[in-house]
Amino acid sequence: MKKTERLNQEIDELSKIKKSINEIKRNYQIMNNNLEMKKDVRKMIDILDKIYIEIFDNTHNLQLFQMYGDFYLPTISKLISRYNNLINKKIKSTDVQNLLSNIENSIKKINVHFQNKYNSFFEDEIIDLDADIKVLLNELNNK
Amino acid sequence: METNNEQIISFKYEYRNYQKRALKEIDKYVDDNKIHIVAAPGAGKTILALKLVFDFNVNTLILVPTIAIREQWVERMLDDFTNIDKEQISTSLKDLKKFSIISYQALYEYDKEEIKNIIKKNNIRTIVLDEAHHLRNAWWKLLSQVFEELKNIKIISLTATPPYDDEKNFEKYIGLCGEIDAQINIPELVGEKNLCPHQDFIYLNVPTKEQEKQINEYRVNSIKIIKWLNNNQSIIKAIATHKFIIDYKNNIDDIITNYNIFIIMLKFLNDRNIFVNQYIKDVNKSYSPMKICDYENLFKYLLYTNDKEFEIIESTLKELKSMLLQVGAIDNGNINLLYNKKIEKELSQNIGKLNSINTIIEHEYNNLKEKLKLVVVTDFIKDDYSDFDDSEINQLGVIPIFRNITQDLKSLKTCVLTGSTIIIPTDTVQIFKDICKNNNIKDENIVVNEIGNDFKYSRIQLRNNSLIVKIITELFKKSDISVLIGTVALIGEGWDAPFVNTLIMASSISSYVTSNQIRGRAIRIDKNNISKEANIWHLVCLEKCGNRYVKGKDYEKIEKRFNAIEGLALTENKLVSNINRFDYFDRSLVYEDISRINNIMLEESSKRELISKRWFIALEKYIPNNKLLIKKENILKNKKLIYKKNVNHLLAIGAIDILALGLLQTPFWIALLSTLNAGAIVKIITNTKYNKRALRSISKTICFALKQKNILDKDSYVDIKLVNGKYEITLINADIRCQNLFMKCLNEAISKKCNSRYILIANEKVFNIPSLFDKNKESAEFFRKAYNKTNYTLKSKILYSKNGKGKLERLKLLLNQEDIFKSDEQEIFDSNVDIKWLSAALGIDNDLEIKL
Repeated sequence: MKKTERLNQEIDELSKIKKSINEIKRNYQIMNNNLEMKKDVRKMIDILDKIYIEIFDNTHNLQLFQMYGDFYLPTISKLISRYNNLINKKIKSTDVQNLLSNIENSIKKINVHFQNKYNSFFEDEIIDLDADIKVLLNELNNK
Repeated sequence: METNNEQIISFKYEYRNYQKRALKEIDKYVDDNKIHIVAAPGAGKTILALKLVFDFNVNTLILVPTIAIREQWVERMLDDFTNIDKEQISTSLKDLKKFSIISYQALYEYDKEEIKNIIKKNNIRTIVLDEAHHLRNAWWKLLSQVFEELKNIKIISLTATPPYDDEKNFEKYIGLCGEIDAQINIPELVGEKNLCPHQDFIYLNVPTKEQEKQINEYRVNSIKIIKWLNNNQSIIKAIATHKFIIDYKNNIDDIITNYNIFIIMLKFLNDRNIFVNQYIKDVNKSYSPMKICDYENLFKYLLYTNDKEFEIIESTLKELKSMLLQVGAIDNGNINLLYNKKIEKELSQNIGKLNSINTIIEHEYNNLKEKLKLVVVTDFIKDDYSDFDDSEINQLGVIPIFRNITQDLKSLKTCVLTGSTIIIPTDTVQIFKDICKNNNIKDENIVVNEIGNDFKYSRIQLRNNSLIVKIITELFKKSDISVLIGTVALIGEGWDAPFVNTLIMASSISSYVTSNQIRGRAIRIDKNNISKEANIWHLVCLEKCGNRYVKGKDYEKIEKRFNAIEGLALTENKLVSNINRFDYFDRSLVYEDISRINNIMLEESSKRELISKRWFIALEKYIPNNKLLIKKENILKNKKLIYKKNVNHLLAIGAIDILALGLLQTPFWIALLSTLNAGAIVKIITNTKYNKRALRSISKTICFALKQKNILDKDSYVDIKLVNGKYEITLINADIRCQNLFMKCLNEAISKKCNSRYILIANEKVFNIPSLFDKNKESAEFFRKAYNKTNYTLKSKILYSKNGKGKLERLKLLLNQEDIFKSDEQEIFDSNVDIKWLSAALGIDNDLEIKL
C-alpha cells in the first residue's frame, strides 16, 4: 500500500473516532449535572482522550482500535444522546426506567472495557519490562 | 476669561478655492460635533480651523504637538485675522483665555479628572486637535476618556496624514476625531500653486554578493522546515482531524471567524493528497497550492494560537518552533520565511545606495549648479563611523553618506544636521557664527572642532541647542552648501525649508504618515523662487534571482510608499497614485536593464522646466475622487510561463498572495482594507471572484440604495473602469464623506470577513448586506429590492446567515467564491517571490525560461 493511501486510511480512522468522541463530549455537556451517569460519561471521555493520544501516533494501536470508530463509538454516542432525550422527557414508565438503567450499566461496563483496551496498548511493553526485570533479578541472584 | 467679543473676527485675505470647497463641505457635517479636516502641508489647515473657531465664538482650547507649532498658531491668529488681540490668547494651561493654545505634553501632565475640571471650569466648548495623527496610544486614550464624559464639545481635528496604514490604531483615531469631513489633496494644492510641482524618481541598486548569499542560505533553511512540515505525519494528521475539517457543521461560527486558516488547512491537505470531507470537496473543484504566506500563517497559527485541537502534537510543535527560532524566522510572534529582520535591514541599508546617492547628487549638481539645495533624509546617524578615515563603510547612515560624498564629490559643500551631530564646511563657520549672533547666541557658547586631514569640515556644538535646527537651516539657505544630510527623526516632520529643491529619501520608512511628512519637506513653495520645481528620489535595492533581478522586500516598501502618494507619472502627463507611474517594474530585470532605467531616471530628472507644464496638463484631467481598485484576474492570460521542469508547486510555494487591490488616493481604504488582511505585507481584498459585472451590480445597488435614503445626491453615480489590470471603482459627484460611506458599504458587501446578519444571493454570487442596511429583515429586504431594481432581476434572495441553514449556505457560497483555485499564469507571472524562492531552494535558475 502506498504511503499516502496508508496515511489517508489512518486519518479516516482517526477522524471517525475523534468525531464520535466530540459527539460524546457534546452530549456530556448538555447532560443534567445531578446525574450519576454524568460522572461515568466524564470518565469515559477521559479514557477516550487518553486512548486517542495513544492511537494518534501509533499505527499498531490504531489498528487495535479500528472497529471502534466505525461502529462502537457512534453507537455509544447515540446511546448517550437517547439517554439525554429520555431523561429530558421525564417519562416514568417501567420500560423507560429499565432502559435508562440498562444504558447506565452499559456505560460502566464500557468504561471498564475501554480501560482494558487502553491497558492493552501497553501489554507488549509490560511483557517486555516484566521479562527485563526477571532477567535482571536472575543476574543479581547469580552474583 | 470670558471676553465680550462684539467685533466679528474675520480673515484678512481671500480664501483659496479649495479652502472654500472644504468650508462648504464642513458646513454639512458640523451636527455630530466632530470636524475632521485632512489637508496636505501648506494647505492652510490652521486658517480653516481658525475660521471655524472664530465662527463658533466660544472658549476654545487648541492642542498642538510642539512649541514651534504653538507659536505658529499665535502668529496666524494675530497676522491673518482682524479684530483679535494678544489679550484674548493664552499659551498657558494655568491661565486660560478665550483662545488657548497648549501642547499635548502640557495637557498630559494632568489626569483625566483634572482635565475634565479644567475644561468645565473654563467653559471650553471647542477643542482643536492639531496634527491629530499624533493621537495614538497614550494621548488618544486620555482624550477619548475625557471626551466620552464631556458632551456638547465641538472637536476639530487637523492633520495632513491620518494614520491610514496603522491597522491597530486607525479605528481608535477615527473614533476620536470622527469621519473625515473635508480633504484637500496634494494635486489641488499644486493646482492652486500652494505646493510646488514635483516629480518622483526611483534609483535602483542591487545586493552585494554577501547579501545574496545570506538571503539564499536563509531561504534554503526555510524550505527545509517546510519540507519537514510537509512530511510530518503528526502535523498532517492533526490538521486532517481538526474539528474544522471533520466536524465543520458544528463549527461554522469558528470557521467563519478563522476563515483564512481554514482555507490554508484545506490547501495544505490538498497538497498532501489528503482526502477532505465530502461536503467541502463538493463545493470546491480544485485548490491552489500552498504559498509561502500560507505556510507563514499556518506556522503562526500552530505556534501562537491557543487551539486545543493541536495539544496532541505539542512536542512536535515545540520542535517546529525550535527550528524556526534557529534560523531566525520568528520575530515578535510573526513568522517570516523569506526574510528576517536582519536581511530586511541589510537590503534597506544596502551600501550600494551610498553610491546611488553620490550619482544623483552629482547629476543634480550638474543640472542646477549652485542653485542645488538637496536634502538626504535617512534613518540612522551611524556616528560610530569616524568622519574621515579609511575604514570600510558597510552601513547606510548620515555619517557614512557624509563620508562618501565628501570623498567622491570634493567640490560640493555638504553639511550634517542631526540631534547629536552637526558638521558644516569650515569656510561657512563665520556665516554660522553670524547667524548665531543674530539669534542672541554668544561666541563662547559655540564650540567648533575642525575635522579630517584637510580641516575642510568642522563639528559644531552649541551650548544652547534649542535653536540649532533653525540656525543650520538658515546657514544651508544663505551659504553655498548644496547638500544637507539629516535624520527622519529630526527633519522628517515639521522642518521648514521651502528653498529645498531636491530630496533623496534614503530611508526605509514606508508608512503613509512619515513618507508624506518627509516628502512634504521638498514640495513646499518658495516665495523667493516662484518657479521652484522639486525632484524627489527614492532608493530601492532589488534582489537577485539567477541572472535576473526581481522585486523584493525593499521594493515592497517603496511600492507601499507610492500607494499613498499622488504624483505625476514619469513620462505621461497624468496623476497616478501607485508605483505604476514608472512603467518599468512589471517584470524581472537583467543588470543592463537596471543601468538603463537609472539612466532614464537621471535623464528625466534633468527636465525640471517641464514639470510645471506637465502638472498643469495632468491637473486638467484630475478629479479628486476616492477610488477602489480591485485587481482583475487573468489579465495576462496571453502571456505564458514555460517550465522545463515540473516546478509549479514550488513556484506557487513562494507566491505572495496579492490577490487584489491597489488604490488611488483613497488612503481611507488603505486602512479599511488593511483590517481585512490576515497579516501579510500587502493590503488585500481576497475575493477576486467578483467579476466586473458583479462589482458593477453591487456598486450600483449601494449607490441606488444610498440615494433612496437621501444620503447621496441624485446626480451621484458609479464609474467602473479597467485600468492597468485593476477595476477602478469611483463614486462621482459625491463629497468625501459620502464617498467614504459608499466605499465602506462596498467593502462590507464583498468582504469575506464581514459578519452581516443577512446575505444577498443573486446571480450565483453572495454579498453581505452592508451594515447600514443590515439592521433587520425589512432593511435587508430594502437592499435586495434596490439590487433587483438596479440590475433588472427578480431572482435575488436574502438569507438570514445566523441560523444553521444560513450559516451553511454562507460557508458554501464563500467557499465557492474563494480564490483557492489553481494559480493561473498571471498569478505566477506576478509572483517574483516564486522565482526567488525557487532559485534559493533548488538552484534551478537555468531551467526556468520566462516567455512573455
